[in-house]
Amino acid sequence: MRLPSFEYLEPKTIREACKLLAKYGPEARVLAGGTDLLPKMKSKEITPRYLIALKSIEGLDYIDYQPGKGLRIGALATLESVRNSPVVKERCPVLGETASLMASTQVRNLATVAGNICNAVPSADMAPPLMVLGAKLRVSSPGKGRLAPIQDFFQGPGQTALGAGEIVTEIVVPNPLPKSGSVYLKHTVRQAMDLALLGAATMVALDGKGACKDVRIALATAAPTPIRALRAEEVLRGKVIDDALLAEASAAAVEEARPRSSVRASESYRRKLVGVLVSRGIAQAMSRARAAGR
Amino acid sequence: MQEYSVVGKRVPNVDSRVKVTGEATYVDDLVLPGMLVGKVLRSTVAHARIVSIDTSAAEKLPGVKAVVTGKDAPNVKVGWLRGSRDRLPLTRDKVRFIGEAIAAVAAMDEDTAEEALGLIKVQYEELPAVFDPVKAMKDGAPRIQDDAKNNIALERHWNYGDVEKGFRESDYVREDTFYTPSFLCGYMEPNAAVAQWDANGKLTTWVSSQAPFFLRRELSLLYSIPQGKVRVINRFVGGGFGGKCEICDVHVSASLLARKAGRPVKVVYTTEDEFAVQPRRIPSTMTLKTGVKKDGAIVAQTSSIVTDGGPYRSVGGVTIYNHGLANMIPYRIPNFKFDAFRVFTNNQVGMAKRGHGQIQMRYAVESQMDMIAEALGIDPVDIRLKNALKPGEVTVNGLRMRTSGLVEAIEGAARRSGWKQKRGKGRAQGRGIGISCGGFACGPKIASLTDSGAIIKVNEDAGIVVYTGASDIGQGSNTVVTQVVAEVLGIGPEEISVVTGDTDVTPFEPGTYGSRVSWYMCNAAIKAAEDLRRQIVEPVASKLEVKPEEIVLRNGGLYVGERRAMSFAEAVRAVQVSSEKGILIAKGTYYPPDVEWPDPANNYYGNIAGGYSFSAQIAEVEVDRETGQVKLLKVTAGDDIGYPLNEMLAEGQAEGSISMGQGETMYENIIVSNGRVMNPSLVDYKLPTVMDTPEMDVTHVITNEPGGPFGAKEVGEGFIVSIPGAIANAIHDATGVWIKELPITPEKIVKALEAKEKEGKS
Ligand SMILES: Cc1cc2nc3c(=O)[nH]c(=O)nc-3n(C[C@H](O)[C@H](O)[C@H](O)COP(=O)(O)OP(=O)(O)OC[C@H]3O[C@@H](n4cnc5c(N)ncnc54)[C@H](O)[C@@H]3O)c2cc1C
Repeated sequence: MRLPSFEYLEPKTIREACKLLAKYGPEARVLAGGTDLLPKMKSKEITPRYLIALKSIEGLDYIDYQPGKGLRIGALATLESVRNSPVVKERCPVLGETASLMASTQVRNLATVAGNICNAVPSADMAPPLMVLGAKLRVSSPGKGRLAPIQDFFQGPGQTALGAGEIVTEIVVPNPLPKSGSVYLKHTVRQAMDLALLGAATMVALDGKGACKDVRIALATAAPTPIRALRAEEVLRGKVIDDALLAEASAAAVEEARPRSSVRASESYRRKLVGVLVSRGIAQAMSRARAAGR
Repeated sequence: MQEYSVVGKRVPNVDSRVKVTGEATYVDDLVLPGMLVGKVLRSTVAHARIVSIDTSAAEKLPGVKAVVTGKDAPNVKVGWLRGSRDRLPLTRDKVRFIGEAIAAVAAMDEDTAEEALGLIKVQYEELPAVFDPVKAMKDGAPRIQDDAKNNIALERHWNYGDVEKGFRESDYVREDTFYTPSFLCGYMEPNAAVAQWDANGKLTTWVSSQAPFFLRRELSLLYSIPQGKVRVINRFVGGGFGGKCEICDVHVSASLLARKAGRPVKVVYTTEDEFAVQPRRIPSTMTLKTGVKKDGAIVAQTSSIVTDGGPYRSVGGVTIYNHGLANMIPYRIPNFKFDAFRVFTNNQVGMAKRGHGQIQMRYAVESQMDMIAEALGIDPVDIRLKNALKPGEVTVNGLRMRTSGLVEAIEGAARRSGWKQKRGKGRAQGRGIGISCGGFACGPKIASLTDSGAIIKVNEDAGIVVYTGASDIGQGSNTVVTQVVAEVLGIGPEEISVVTGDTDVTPFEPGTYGSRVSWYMCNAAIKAAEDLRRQIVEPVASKLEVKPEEIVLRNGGLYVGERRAMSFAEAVRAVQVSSEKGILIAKGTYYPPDVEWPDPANNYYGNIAGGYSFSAQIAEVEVDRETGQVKLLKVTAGDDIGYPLNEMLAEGQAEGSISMGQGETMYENIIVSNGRVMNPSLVDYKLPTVMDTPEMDVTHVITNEPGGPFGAKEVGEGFIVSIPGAIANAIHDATGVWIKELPITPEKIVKALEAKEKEGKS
């Protein structure tokens, strides 16, 4: 299938990009790595008349850590650079691990983390770990910018909370809680180059006595958007987690998940996976939390 | 193991260098002056009468140079065999599946051609459709072809011995039904064609084909022109696996458009085209009833199959014959009854894929073999040894096993895999190990002309050029032919160049299918080389005053005893300048001497091939019982390929077979719902990746098949047929559940485990 024709716009600044986006409205799309956008255009699912390239804006591909500000991932930082980044490995290893589970080297060299989030499909692998880490998205627009919690960002399949003329310029990941650990488990049929039949990110922070001080669970492909499993979290928060509680929490997650049947997997199988991955994920996050120094 | 100087050696593939540097060009790389780009319009409904096709808007689009519909094509039906020519190349009045070609456009560029397709208006009057072959056979089902009552395209029935008596005499009888879906051939280079007509009315077409001579025949019949007016040129072929044997709409649309536009036209399939029309593995429902003695010896078997062929006969009876063939090899079955149907449906057309019609049946037989072994408390290795065909045996349908290394292959694989230590002991850790066997005919006789020929000419400097019609689709036939010719002439393979892939230039060759090329083509080339040797040795012998038999060709020279009389080049030179026989041209043709066409009047009895390969494979898996995820850890295999002509290429075939078989067993499936392919992309149609590939350990049993070239048998297909059973049986060993339907997905395993748990509780 052929790429439909479009006009390629090369703004030099974020402001200019936002203005173009505001001007052309639904006829325009932001182009990062294009690994989601271009296949959709080829299949004529969308046919934007304008593509606003972010590549022409300098300096957007950073991955940066500053003690006060946390980890900042620029809009053009690729999955491959996140995967290989020493500061990601040190501060939020789960993000690098997640990138390793995605696509292939060739695709990861093009694909961006921000693009994965803004594409907002239920199976976006970067969403669950960023959700359990409490990430925020820095959003620029022709007017005033804002910092949007990733929590409220996904509004439906392919739909985000971005308004007219808004562009995500960076993802801000706060410092992980003390004595906490996070993992992302992705269930696929194949061992590489496969989309998640189910993805589960878990974060557990322990208190001095080993009880669960805080916990977050986020799921991919378990609902029309990436979701938090809030009731499952409630079961665990403040308690000493044992096998019985883990079973109760994963049952709660199974119940609050809203997966659907597709050619890839049935609803009931996905529900089963929710239970398995949540329970395994919590157990693994706990052992990471125990091992974590601070 | 017999040692040769060139044969059997790890000679690198002659095409590797140009392929890895990117110099090798494929159809899509070809650009001719004035060439247009063609695109094909496909049906969006499964079964309908075409009321009208309005191409006027497309014709008016600037840049469009030709639009063709079925009315522009001769009213001639094409197909693979005489009995299966039931398909108009571009359909006229009816469409019978989603994706069927209706019209084609040639334009200055691809975008314009694609845009023009969108301007063609087809008005359909939808007809009731049928997608389930069993329902299609019922009275009152929608009729798909006028000449087929109850939509039965073809049927085959064999009856050997007395199965009912056999079942009565058995100690244990069981019946199971298995299903295998449709699989993509999955080659890398899409099907493509460039076509050009010259002022004399000669059609030249550049294609990516496994069978250029069949294509020439069909194009000559279609256009009612002699075969000499059709030239089919194969460039490098980026894989085939069965999917590039047949004429298809890519060839027809390119040639029709080129004729109408008066300019060369290129048509290249997209991935979506491939999913719509690529000939794929035929889906098969197989019911097997088997009776055995207490010791596991098979007494009787009935095998009943219904295959979903889509709305055309395509490769015809071969697929269903092959199911029965797979019942007959590699175990002894004294009483056997076979009832097979190829049924018309409104799904896509089913055709051949590597292990054609046989991998399905091997999966069924091998799964059931383990069920029987389990019921009788026999080790799966032992039950296979008990039934394995031995050298000298003749099967009830007449297949003659001159050699068989199956027993040694099973024993060797069991030993090397640590079978005894592992079998039945890993379930607690989710580990399992399973075995499966198979075999394959080396070039079965399926058409009236299946001979091969080779021509050798000698350059002025004694370099050798071999002409063969064989299509090297990556398997390495261009390499092994240099090896066998070099061996006969006692020279290095680098002295030999090969010319293939041009029907105007090379002798006839049916094609690269049915595991026939090495056997037939190498035997023909050996004969040609022997002819050349005679042409050189005889005059030289009289000059040297020795008998021709005293001269031996080796090491690039002619030897009398230990004495090197002259170099090969000197000998050639001597002949070239000495006489009227100076122009050295040699030829060889081959047809296996004792092969029979299976006789329809006599239960399809007959020895269909000159030799039979065997394989035994042991798979080890790890299964996550909660998610159903399977990891294929290791495959330990033994094969009997007679003698490996090129060890490196033989390994490549084995490893590629394991990977392809793994895909069909664990991941792949063309999901079709109401005639529509639901997963027409490589995201949702999952081929195995290198990360999924297991450790492999393959060892050959050398049997030196008397009729094979240097003792070789086939290596391309006998290996793949035994993979699904090995994995299925390993999964059973790990979990205790049987999955009687491919692919064995994690979801199916979880469901089966849940059902088993419930059963245990109630
Ligand atoms: C072969 C293959 C395998 C894949 N495997 C995976 C996988 O395993 N897991 C997975 O989750 N995904 C996978 N993907 C999908 C895709 O690669 C990822 O989602 C990727 O991260 C998208 O990033 P991108 O930069 O390519 O986005 P683009 O395609 O450039 O953009 C995606 C969408 O986001 C918008 N957008 C991009 N950047 C911004 C921004 N800064 N502000 C506002 N809007 C923006 C675009 O307008 C577009 O709508 C795969 C894709 C392919 C082709």
